[in-house]
Amino acid sequence: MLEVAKDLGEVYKVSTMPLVQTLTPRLRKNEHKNTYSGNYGLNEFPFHTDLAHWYVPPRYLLLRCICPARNVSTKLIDSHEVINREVRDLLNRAHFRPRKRLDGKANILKVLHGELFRWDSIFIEPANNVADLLKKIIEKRLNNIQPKGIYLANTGDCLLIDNWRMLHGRGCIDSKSMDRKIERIYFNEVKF
Amino acid sequence: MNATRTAHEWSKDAFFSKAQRYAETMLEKDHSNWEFGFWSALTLEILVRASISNISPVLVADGKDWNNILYAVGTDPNQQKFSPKSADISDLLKRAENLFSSFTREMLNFSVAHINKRNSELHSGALPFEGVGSSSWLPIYYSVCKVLVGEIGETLESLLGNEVAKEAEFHIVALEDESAKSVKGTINAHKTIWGEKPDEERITLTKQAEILSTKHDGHRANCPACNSVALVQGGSTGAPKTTVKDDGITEKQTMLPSSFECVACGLKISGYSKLVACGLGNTYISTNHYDAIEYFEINIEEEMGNMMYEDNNDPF
Repeated sequence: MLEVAKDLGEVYKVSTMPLVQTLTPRLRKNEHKNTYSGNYGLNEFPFHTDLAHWYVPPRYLLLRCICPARNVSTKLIDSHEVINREVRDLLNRAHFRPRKRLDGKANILKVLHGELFRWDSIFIEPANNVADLLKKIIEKRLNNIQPKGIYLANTGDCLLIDNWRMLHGRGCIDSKSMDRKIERIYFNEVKF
Repeated sequence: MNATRTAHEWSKDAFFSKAQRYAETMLEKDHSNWEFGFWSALTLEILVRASISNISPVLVADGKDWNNILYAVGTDPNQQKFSPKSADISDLLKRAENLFSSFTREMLNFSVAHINKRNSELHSGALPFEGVGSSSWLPIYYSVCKVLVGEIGETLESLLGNEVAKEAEFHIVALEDESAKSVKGTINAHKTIWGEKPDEERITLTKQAEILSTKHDGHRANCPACNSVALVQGGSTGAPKTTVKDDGITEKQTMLPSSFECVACGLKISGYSKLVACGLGNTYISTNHYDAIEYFEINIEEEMGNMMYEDNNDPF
């Protein structure tokens, strides 16, 4: 995985995680609330940006299939489809904040920050009325947009996601898919 | 833009978001409420910091301790109990005047006074925002905000929201109209008094004005009331252009007018907006000539000494 990743671009290590992380289905009761598994367990994960609560989240993430689960898709929505006129009018003045202080600091986060579009329904929360309104509109739009489903159906299948543009989510895990295993690695830049 | 956990507290974006947050609190209050004025002053201060940080966060640092500069460029100083300190707002306001040509002396004066009220509110028992009508300060306040948000590529809409931004534009236009009316009234009054003076006195005063209004003291312009030669004073805007020739160094500096005075009829106009309203608002060039010794502050005696008595470990 790491060799493939280094060929692709500038790998980024999150200080609190291994460089290559292994993602597996987990039961909600066994996990902390600071993870999606701790909130959603085996249910569908909502559309989000990885590390949306950071001031600048990593630009790309690579998913590589170690053990496939043919019934579980990675779903993607293009943020360009989310931003309509109603959303655009609110973006600049909508202030969000991380659910918890990060490194002892509280930051104001904007959903659109230059090229970066971020979203997370639980790890960032509205900090003003404009953000309350924007959250409602974005969640409604995410429910109405038809996502693209990608299946990592074979061992070694890879999916590179632009984390600043594409919101992603995991499909529901059924009893046959409990062995699903995916590796993940982050990048600051990739070579195209 | 690489992955970053938290924003730099002196970054333009962090400052501007905070200015938006303060403006939101300000706009929740009635104009007659003292808190409206108080939050407006806090918003202004943060907006000044945002506009300067937009050039570089280093310009926001208190330069007395270089560790603050190190912190501004994103490196944590290797010093125990270090607490980053930014420059005082009074210094930053002066920097803003130098950096932004549209941030006029009038705006500087207003900003200093408005932020001083905030200091007085926080550090004394005085109530500087209590019972102060917003009409006395809101138009120029919005003018200042418009200039500062413009410097960082933002708009009044993004700072204040669409509805208040429209109201702010209305105040700004009204301020310009009011300046124009007031200055025209002053000019007309001086014209009338000038016209009532005997011919001999007018000729004498005009000649005196011609002699007293030298280029050395300011920019010469015709008085809109009596047509005598008068002087415009201004402040520098932008970097000077320097040319070096055999006979010395010439420095040309663009100046933004800030005041006008005619010694013949006594007309005085203060403030850029009023000068614009009566046609005296054009920028002008101030030219200074220096010889090399003066310009580079060369100490001839020291230079000669250095040439004649070179360092020598083994004197002979």
